[in-house]
Amino acid sequence: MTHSEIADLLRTFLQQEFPNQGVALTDSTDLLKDWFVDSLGIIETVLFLEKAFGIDIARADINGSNFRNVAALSEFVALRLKQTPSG
Amino acid sequence: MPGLLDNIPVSDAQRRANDRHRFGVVIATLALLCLYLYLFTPVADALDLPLPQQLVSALGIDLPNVFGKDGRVESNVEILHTEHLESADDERLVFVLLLMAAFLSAYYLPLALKQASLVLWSLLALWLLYGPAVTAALLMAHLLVYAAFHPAGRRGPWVSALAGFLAYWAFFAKQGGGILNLLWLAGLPLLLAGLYRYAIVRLLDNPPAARALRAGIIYSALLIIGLALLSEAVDGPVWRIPLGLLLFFWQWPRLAMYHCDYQDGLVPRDVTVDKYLAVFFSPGVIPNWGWGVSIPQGYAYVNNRFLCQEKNRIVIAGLQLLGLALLYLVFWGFAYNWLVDFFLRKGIDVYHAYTPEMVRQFVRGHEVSTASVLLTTLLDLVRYMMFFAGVFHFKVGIWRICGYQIDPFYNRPWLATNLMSFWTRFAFHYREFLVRVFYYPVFFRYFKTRSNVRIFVASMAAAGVGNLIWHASERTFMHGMEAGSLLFTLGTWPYFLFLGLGIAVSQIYLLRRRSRRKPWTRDRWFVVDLVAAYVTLQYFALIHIFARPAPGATTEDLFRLFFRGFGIEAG
Repeated sequence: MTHSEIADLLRTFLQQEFPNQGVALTDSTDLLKDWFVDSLGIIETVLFLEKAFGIDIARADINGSNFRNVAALSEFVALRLKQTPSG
Repeated sequence: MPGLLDNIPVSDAQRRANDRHRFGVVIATLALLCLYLYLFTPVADALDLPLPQQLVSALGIDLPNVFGKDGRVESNVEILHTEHLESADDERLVFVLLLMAAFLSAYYLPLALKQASLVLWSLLALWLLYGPAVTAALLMAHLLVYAAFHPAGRRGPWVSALAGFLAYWAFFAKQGGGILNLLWLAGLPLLLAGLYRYAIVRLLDNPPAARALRAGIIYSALLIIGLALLSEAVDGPVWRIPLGLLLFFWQWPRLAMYHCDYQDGLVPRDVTVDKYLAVFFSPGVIPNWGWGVSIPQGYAYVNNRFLCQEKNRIVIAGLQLLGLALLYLVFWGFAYNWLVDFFLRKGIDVYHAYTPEMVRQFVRGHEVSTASVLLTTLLDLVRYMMFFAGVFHFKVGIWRICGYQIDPFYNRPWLATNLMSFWTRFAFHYREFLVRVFYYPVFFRYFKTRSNVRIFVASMAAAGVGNLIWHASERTFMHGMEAGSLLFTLGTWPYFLFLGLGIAVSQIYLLRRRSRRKPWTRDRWFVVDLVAAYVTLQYFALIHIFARPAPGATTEDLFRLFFRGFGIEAG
C-alpha cells in the first residue's frame, strides 16, 4: 500500500467519523488542535488503524508526533506495515 | 485535543523566542498575588489596613459565610500536614510571598536557570513550611529515584552520596552530637555511594532487574501500604511513616507518569537532575499537597509545556485562572448556603447539601423523599465542584504564572453530556493518569479482536480498579497506614463499580452512535443536550451515596437510598 493510498483511507475515515465543517482536512491539518475533540477520537482511530491496516499499536505510539496530521499518521502506518510480516 | 498527545518537544531556541518581558504583566501578576495576601493571610493586620470583612461592611455589602472570626476570608487553599507555623493563614502568607519570588525568578532569569530556580524556591518553601527534616527526606527520595533512572556517567555515586547526606539530615541530625551521630553523618553518604557504585549499577546493567527495581521504586507507596497492612494483620505495630517520605509517596501518580514516559522513550536518558526535579518541585505542587492528583503529569507533559508559547500569553492565562479561583474561593460558602436556604424555604430538606448527613438521617429512620435524595446529592456535588474549582484553578494558575502552559484540571463539567466527557472536564489530569497507567496497558494488550469487550475491560480497569487503588492510597495518606483506612475505601466499592460501568457504557455508546453532531449546537436537539447534562450530573452525584457513607450505614442501606433516588422502594 502506498503512502497516498494510506493517506486517502485516513482522510475518508476522519471526515466520516469526525466531520468538521469549519476546517479543510489536508495532509498538514493539525489533527490535535483542529480535529479530535476528545480522547475517544484517538481510541476510535486506533481501532480503525488496527482493523483497516492490520497493524499492532502500542501505548508508546500514541503520541503527538504520530498523530499530528494525516501525513505523519500515514507515515507511521506505512512504517508499521513494513514491520508487520505479511500473510 | 490536549494532554495525552501534547508531548511534542519544544526546542530551547523556541523557548528563548517565547521568553519576552512585559512589565505590565509582571505588575498585574504581583497585584493579583497581593490581593490573595490581603484576603487570605494576616497581611492586613500586619500593615494596619482595614480587614476584608470591615472593608466589605463599609461598602454596605452583606456577605454571610465568607469571612472567618478573624475578619479574613476563609480559604480551602491550605498546606496539608504541617505543624510548623502558627496558623493556616501564616502558612499561606509564607507560600504566597515565596510564590512571588518564584514567579519573578522564572520570569526574569535566563532560560537555563528558570526551572532550576523554581525547584530552589519550592525547596525553600517546603523548608519553611514543613521544616528541614521533611524537606531533606523528600529530596533524598527523589535523588534516589533519579540515580536509579539515570545512571549515566559518574553522576550516580555523587547523587547517592548527596542522598545519604540528606538521609542523615532527615533522620539523624536531630539526635544531637556525639560519636555515633558523626558516624552516621560520614557513613550514610559513603554507604549509599558505595551501594550504588558496587551493587545498584550492576543491577541496572541487567535489563529485567533494572525494570523490576525501577517499578518497585515508582510504586513504593503501594508496596509500603501493603507491607504496613500486612504488619498490622500479624499483630505488628501500626506503621508511622516520616512525613517527608509520606510526601514522596503521595507523588506516586506523578512518579507513575514519569515511569510511563521513561518506558515510552520520552525522557532523555541523560536528563539533568534539575530537569528531573522540576517535574516534582514546583510551587504549584505545594498547596493542598494531598490533592496530589491535581497535576499528575510526567516529564514529557511538564517539560514540553514549559514556555511552549509566548511567555506572557501563558502568564495571562494563569492570571485568568487565578482570578477565577479567587471567585470560587471567596464566594463558594456564600453560594452553597444560599442554595441550601433556597430549597429549605421551598420545603425540601437537602440535609445541608451533605450526603453523609442524609445517609445518617435515613439510617435513623428519617423519611427521605426521592426529591431530597436527588437534590441533596446534586447540591453536594455542586458544593464539591465549587470547592474543587477554587483549589484546582489556583494550582494550575500557579503553574502557568511560572511559565508552564498546563491544561485546566477543571473545565466547566456542567457542560458534559455524557459521563466520559464529565470525567474529563471534572478531573482532566487525574483522568489522564488513570488512562495512561491503567487504561492503556489493558486496552493495548487484551481482547484485541473484540472492541466492546476491550473498551469495557479497559474502562473498568481505569475508572474502577485504578480509581479505587488511588483513593485507597489517599485514605492511608490522610488517615494513617492502618487496615481501617483500606477497609473504608474497599467498603465504597459500589461507587467505583457504578462509575466504571457508566464510563464504559458511555464510551461504547459513543463509538457505536452514527450521529456526529457536536453537543450544544443550537438546533432542535439542544433540549436533549440539557437533559443529557442533567442526567450525567445527577448520576455522578447519586453514586456518591456510596463514596462517602456515614458511620453505621450498611451497604444495603446505601443501595436502598440509591434506589430511592430513582423512585424505587427497595427492601
